[in-house]
Amino acid sequence: MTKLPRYFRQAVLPVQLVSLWLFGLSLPVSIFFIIKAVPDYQQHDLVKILYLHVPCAWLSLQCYVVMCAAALLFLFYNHSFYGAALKAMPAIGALFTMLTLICGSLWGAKSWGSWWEWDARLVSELILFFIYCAIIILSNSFKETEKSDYACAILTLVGGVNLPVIKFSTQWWHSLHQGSTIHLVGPSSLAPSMMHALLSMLVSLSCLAALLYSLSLQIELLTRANRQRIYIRLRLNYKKAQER
Amino acid sequence: MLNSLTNTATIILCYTIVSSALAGALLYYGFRRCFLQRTQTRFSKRFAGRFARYRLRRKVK
Repeated sequence: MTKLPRYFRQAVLPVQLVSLWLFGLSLPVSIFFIIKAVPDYQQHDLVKILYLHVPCAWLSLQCYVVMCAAALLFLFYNHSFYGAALKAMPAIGALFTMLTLICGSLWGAKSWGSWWEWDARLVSELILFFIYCAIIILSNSFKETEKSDYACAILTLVGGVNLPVIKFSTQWWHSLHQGSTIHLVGPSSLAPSMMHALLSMLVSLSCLAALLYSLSLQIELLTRANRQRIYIRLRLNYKKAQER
Repeated sequence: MLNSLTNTATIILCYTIVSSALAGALLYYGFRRCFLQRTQTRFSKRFAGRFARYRLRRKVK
């Protein structure tokens, strides 16, 4: 792939501008909702940490879902673009997972009286962080891009087993971590002011994640294009030397 | 009172860590993208002629 795909080149700037605009718009709204949200009757103001922790945790899983989709598309179509789409994500996913763990740890230190517990949900989230790190290491340990893409796609799909484990860990094992309070189907057991704060923060962090992903994907594609140009230049010099 | 103060300190610490990490990531990706784009533009301008000749030669052969 010598150039960025045309549709991507046309779409990337509007996507970046729209996500930046939405992020700038939704961040003050979410800060307003967080300040206005009622304190929890047990945790008091400490619940405000969860308005960051929960969206970060959701996004850490969403990033992995996007990676799984990119890995499947790469294995089906074997196109370099999907390989780049796969490799652009693990650093962002690892960042959100790390922030989830840090926020959870800070919250747990005050709420549970412990920085870390060997709980199913916590351990599975930590494994997700290790999987992200493994994919980052694997993507940098091959000279040939195609081999690296293939290895990352396989590892991503194998690591995808961890996603349902994270989701259902509170149901499958006796867990200290609380179960889900927001359901896609059926009523949620959360006060409306808390729900507004949580959802607005989720929207603003999703916009930021979209912006980071589009930048990262652009960087990955530009790096590949540069690498190919350097390779062509080297071949050109070699041919010239042979002709002499 | 002390408990409330430590709670507030924990919340501020948490929000500071998250916002600085995300701002750092945004700056890193933004600068890296600008740098790569600039490098590629310079590279393309410098070697545009050579690439064209190379492609032409390949087509002729």
